Amino acid sequence: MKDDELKNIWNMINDDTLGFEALHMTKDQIISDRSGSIQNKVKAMLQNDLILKSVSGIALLMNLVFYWGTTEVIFICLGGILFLAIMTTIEWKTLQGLNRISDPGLSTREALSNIMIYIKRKANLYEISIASSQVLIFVPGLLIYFYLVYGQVKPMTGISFAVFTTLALIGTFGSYARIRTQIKYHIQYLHIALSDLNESSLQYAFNAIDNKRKQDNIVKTLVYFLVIFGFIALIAVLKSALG
Amino acid sequence: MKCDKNTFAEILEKHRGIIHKVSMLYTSNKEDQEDLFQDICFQICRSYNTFRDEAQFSTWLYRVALNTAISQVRKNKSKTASETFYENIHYASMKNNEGDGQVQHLFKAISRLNRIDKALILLWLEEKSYEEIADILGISKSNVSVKLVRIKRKLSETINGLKK
Repeated sequence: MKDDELKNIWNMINDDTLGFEALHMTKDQIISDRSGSIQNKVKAMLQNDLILKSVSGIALLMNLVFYWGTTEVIFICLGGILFLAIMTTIEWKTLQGLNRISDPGLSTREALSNIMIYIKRKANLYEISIASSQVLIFVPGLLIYFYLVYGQVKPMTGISFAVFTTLALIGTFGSYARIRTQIKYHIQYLHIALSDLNESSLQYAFNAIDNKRKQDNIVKTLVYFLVIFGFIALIAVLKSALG
Repeated sequence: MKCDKNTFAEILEKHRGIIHKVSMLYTSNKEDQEDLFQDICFQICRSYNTFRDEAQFSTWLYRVALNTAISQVRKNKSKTASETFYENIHYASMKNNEGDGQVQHLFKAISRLNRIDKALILLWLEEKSYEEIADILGISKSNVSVKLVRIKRKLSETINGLKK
């Protein structure tokens, strides 16, 4: 194919060829649309994780039935269901909050400030909550596998146990790091967009985040404690059941 | 120089075509395409004060658009465009309806290139000189020339393969 032929094909494309709405937008509209899209992405992330958590819930209930009579496994399942309930509530509330702040009557600045304040405040909580799904899928999955293949919890050697624990930890931290990077990128964009629109809007957002910091820190500390304690308890019970 | 509403509207009016093409080539679906379009517009406006009169405006604009697109692709872990994405191009408004398939083939062939090669061929198709391409992408003129020969050959082979 000759150079001219390639260029002729390329030149067949005109501005409207790709038919798309953003052609006559103002700067504010573009920023506002992009922020809306960030909000939708965070919502989709939470919705997908809620589906994953539902699967995990079903798996935990199946294990309760399968292993009825095996005390350690019942403890794991009940603990898992409790942990799942707490994390699901956090995600559900975050999702509701995200829906609440999408008021079409707000100006671009107000909408941006609201999205940034909300995402920045809640980021840590749902990063942990989403990452926890890895363990909540891995452990019940492993138990179902044992039941289907061996009909019981198979005792594990120290090395097998270490391998499984390491895999679960890698999955959880990997997922946490990935979500954190994504959220950080979104926050960075909102930060730039807000500072570009108006410095005072950015200041307002920071003040709002600062005012809520104490309240947020208490919740975050409780969740961190719950996750660490839950994980140690899980290891201890699993060790006793599988070891 | 500050990018106020009027300047922004003017830039968008004059250069939307190229921003559009860049966002189309570097994304895998309509939603990402719109996001990238908005990001590029936003970056252009933000970086507007770094534009120096000694450079040609379009050269600067291509640089900002491509850098934004390339860094987005890197952040999104190089989601490559699915070829079916290009089948949804609206052809009704094309200058020449006979070229529908040809444009699809060209887009599909370009989608198979890596992100730097995409930038190179895009600039060449947009009639940029070798000097300008080298300036925009920060590579030597001879490198542009060598790479373009290889990319054009690859494009031709792919398009011919798609035609069969």
